[in-house]
Formats: sequence, C-alpha cells, structure tokens
Amino acid sequence: MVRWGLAVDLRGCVGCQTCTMACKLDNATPPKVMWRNVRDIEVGTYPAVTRFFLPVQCMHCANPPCMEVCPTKATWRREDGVVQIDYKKCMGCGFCVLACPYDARWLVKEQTGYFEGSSPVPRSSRPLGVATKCDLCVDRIDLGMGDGKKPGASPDSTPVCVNSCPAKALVFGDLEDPDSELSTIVRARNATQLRPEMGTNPSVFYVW
Amino acid sequence: MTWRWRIASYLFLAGTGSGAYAASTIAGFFGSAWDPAPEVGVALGAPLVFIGMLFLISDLGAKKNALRAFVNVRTSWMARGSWIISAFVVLAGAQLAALLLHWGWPSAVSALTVALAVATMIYTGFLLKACRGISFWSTAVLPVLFLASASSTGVMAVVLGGAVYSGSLGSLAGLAKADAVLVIIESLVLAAYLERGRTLRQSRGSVRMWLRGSLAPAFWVGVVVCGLLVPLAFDVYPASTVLVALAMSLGLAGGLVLRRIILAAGTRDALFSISPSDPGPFWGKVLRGAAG
Repeated sequence: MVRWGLAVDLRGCVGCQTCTMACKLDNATPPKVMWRNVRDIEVGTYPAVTRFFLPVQCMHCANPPCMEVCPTKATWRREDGVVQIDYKKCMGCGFCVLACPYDARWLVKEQTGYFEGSSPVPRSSRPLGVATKCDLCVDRIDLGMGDGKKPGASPDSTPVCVNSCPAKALVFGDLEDPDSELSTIVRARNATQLRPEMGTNPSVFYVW
Repeated sequence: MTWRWRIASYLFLAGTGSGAYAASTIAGFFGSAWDPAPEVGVALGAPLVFIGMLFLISDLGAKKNALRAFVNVRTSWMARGSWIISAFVVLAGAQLAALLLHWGWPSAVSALTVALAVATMIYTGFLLKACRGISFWSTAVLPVLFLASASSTGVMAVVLGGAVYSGSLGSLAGLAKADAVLVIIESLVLAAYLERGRTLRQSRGSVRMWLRGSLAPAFWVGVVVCGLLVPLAFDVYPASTVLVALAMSLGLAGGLVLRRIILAAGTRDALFSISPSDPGPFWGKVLRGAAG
C-alpha cells in the first residue's frame, strides 16, 4: 500500500512563495484562491518576537473532517491517501470549507482571472460553484506511475510545488515505504503535524 | 466566512417554523384551552421551514447536485438534516393541507412530526459543531442554544400569528407566559455559551467580537434588547394586542440576528497557535532555531 505525503523542512523554507506561484500557474487557480501558500508566522510580543515561514496546503488527512461533513460524498480519499473532490457530485454548500481546520479549501463561485480579456496565464476549466483544493497533483503522480516513473524521484511524477522549491525544503514520497527519503526524514527528525489534537492525522509533516 | 445571511435566514426559519409547530402541538395535546395555538402552529410550521430550505438551496454553488444532499447520512450532519427537514415539511405540510380541507389528522402522526420538529431545532447546532476547527461553534452548548432559541422564537411566531389572525390575545396570553420562561432559559443558555467561549483561548476573540467588537451593536441591541428583553417584558405584561405583536416581531428579528452573529463570529482557529512561553518540544526547537 502507498500513502503519498510531504515533508516540509521549516529550516529550509525561505518564504519565497515560489511553490505558491508554481501551484497557481499549474492548477490555474483564480485570484485569492490559494491551494497552497507560505504563511509568515510571528510568535511573541515586541521586542521578543520570533518569525518563521510555514507553508500550508491540504494536509491529505487520514481522517479528513471535510470528507466526514460532506453530504454528497463528493470528497473522497483514494487508496493512496490522496483526498480528492469529485466536481460532478459537489453541490457547493461550503460545509467542508468551514470544517477544514487547515483553511485549505476554497469554494469558487465566479470565473475570474488576473488579467482583463485574453490572459497570458491559463484559466481553470474546473466547473464553478464547487469546492476546490490541492489535489497533490495526482494527474502527475498517475501519469508518471503509468510511465514507470517514481513519484518523488522523477520530477515528471512529482507535485509542482516540490519541483519548484529552490531550497529543497519540500520532500515528496511514500509514507508507507520505510526506506523512502520522506519516511527517513520524518523518522530521523521527529517530524510533527499541524493541529494534531484534531485527530486528523495529516500526510503533511513538518521538520526543523 | 462562507455562510452569511442566506444561511442565517435558513437557520432562523427552520428553527422558528419547527419550534412553532412543536410548541403549539404540544400545547394542543394538553387540551382545548390553547385554541387557536395548534392550528397556528400547523399553519406556520411547514411553510416557514420550506422557505428556509429555499434559502439554503439558493446558497448552493452547484444547485444541479442539490439532491445529493441526502447521500452521506453515515457521517454528515447536513445529509442527516436534509432527511429530517424534508420529512418534517412533508408531514407538517400534509397536516396543513388536511387542516385547510377540514379533514381530521391522527394525533399519532402529529406526535411523530413533533419529534421531527425537535430534531430540526437541534440538528443545526450539531451542523455547526461539526466544524472542529472553529472553536466558537465546536461545543455541545450550541445545539442546546439552538433548541432554546427555536423554542422561544417558535412560540413568539405562534403568538404573533395568532394575534394577527384573531385580532386579540385571548388564550395566547397563556402561551406568552410560557414564552417568558423559554426566553429566560434561552438567556441562561446564551450566558453559558459565552462563558464557555470566553474560557477557551481559540474562541475568546469571537466572544470579544460579540461583547465589545464589531458585532457588539448587533448583540446588545439585536439579541439582548430586541430578542430577549422586549419580548420578556411584554410576555409578562401583555399591555395590548398590538404591543405584544410588535414585541414578538422584535423577538423574531432578534432570533435572526442571533443566527447571523453566530455565523459571523465563527472564525477559524489560528492554524498555528502556540504559547510563546510553553511552545512544546517541536515548536520550541523551531522558535529557538528561527531566533538564530
């Protein structure tokens, strides 16, 4: 069995938002819709303030609250752990957007672009009025697997955010494979998940 | 947030309609002294909840898939609620048709419809409670608050409807007294809800929005004065039919405002929220490392 996941090396992330832009371009998300982005976190009060960058996205939880609350079963989890949205089933109620503790879902009701008229950047062909989010670039994973490439090792078969990171702060791979680079990092560096008290068991791990 | 006036209207109409039906039908079980309350409750119940459903549907992004709302009963409160309110509207609507045609209606079916009405009053609380990342909503007090508010606004709707229909209070004065008790109960539950929200770090900001922040006028004027104090005063001292009807109208408006500000203050907990003095082993390492 496979469980695709990510490790985010907070020590490596420089907050450049290249992954954000790569994601927006590849997935053609409209303005303000951020399937992933890098948060600028400040802790403490002046002058004792610490600042670091926290990349966030759909956590592809093992127990996704979005899937639990979805009345239509549009949100589902693949056998490889990727949480997906079936646009043909979603009725756009927005319940999942509110139920996601990670602020990772967007209900897109209008087709907007970054430019008037003809656009130099692609616009989404997704239907309007449905919930959208990071799909972990499953099209790339599936295509690459079909061609016999190894997701995580071959860029053709790896999520674009991971490919784009100049600092190599993102590692993609199989959490179920104890020998994968991802599993090794998660184990060796005492990785943590966001909001573990939610019981969601995310597939995105953070290391320092 | 995603849910605004349309969903607030839905929550209000579903609660008030089912509350009106449940309260008046239960009153009717205790004898004829409560006329015309049971009939008014039947006249209001199904239509109000149905209009609420239209608000709900109007808020959907992909209306062509609206019937899929019934699919995931196993885990989704929205799917469960869809069955509950639909069953209520069908049964209470049939009863209304029978009433208009002067047919009899079996009280066993009424009892079943009361059960569905109570479920309608409560489930919306479970709906919001399911959003675990929103601490302001994620509490068992919320279904209780919705039940209390739906009961009091339901009775207010019956008193208002009866006063408008018959032009006098008559036996409705007794129902107004019952409403006074319900308003007091609702106030206590509301206080408990705020106290619970205030003690949690993640929902403290939402409570502050209500008491002192951007929602304070809506809370103090809309909910406390219009929704609770004015109806309570005229429930206890029903000075005149017109004044009671006005007070009930304000009370109903307060019920709508309450739903709206519950939605408005439901902000998502900070994705990353740690205490700087006690960040835990992992985030302590991050903070020390980031500080250099």
